[in-house]
Amino acid sequence: MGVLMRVVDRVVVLDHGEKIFDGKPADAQADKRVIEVYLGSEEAA
Amino acid sequence: MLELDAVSAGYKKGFQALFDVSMTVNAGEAVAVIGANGAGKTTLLRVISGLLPATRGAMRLGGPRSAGNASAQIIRPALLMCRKVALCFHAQRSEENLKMGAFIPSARAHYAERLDYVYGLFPRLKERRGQLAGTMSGARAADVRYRARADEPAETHSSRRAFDGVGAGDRAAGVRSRQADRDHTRC
Repeated sequence: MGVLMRVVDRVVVLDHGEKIFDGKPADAQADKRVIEVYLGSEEAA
Repeated sequence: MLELDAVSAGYKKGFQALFDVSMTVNAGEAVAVIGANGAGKTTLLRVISGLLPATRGAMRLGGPRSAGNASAQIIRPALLMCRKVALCFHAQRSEENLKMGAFIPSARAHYAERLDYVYGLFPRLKERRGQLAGTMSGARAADVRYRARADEPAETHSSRRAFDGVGAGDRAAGVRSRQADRDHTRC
């Protein structure tokens, strides 16, 4: 994941057939919905 | 440039896998499509590469183009779907694999010239032209995937790199530049 974020210019994130994010890798990693659906939620913290 | 405008697609029995997806990949840009299992990544790539017709929406690659075009037509402007697993015909020799890249008639005419070009990029492949692709290392097999696309003008290389990025999903190697490939080949 870290490597991917370094080499791509942009990230498109899909969830249940819909685009939920389109933008810079750094912004994807900070996006709440992206974290929830893809990176995994760590809300317990 | 690749442009998708509100593309929807699905499978049999009315199962819809993509809902109005719009996205753009500019020439030379590497874009990763990510998502959990079942999010629609593969379906999106199948639509882009023409393996699955879109049920709605439009797609353009370089110029006007509908989403319903057959795979062979889409290959012409240099769009290929590469799986992250090195996809070769294992029982064929490496040069026979390269020849598959010149499968469409317009490409066949320039096969010899393009083969020289590919061997220039990947000299090891020339040494191993007779080796069965299934017995090669992953790196060599990846080189073979740069098939001898004979009809492809040099200017489209940058855009193909972007599409490799789309196709490669979470594999960093899919967005290597050609220069990086040369370095890699020397290793």
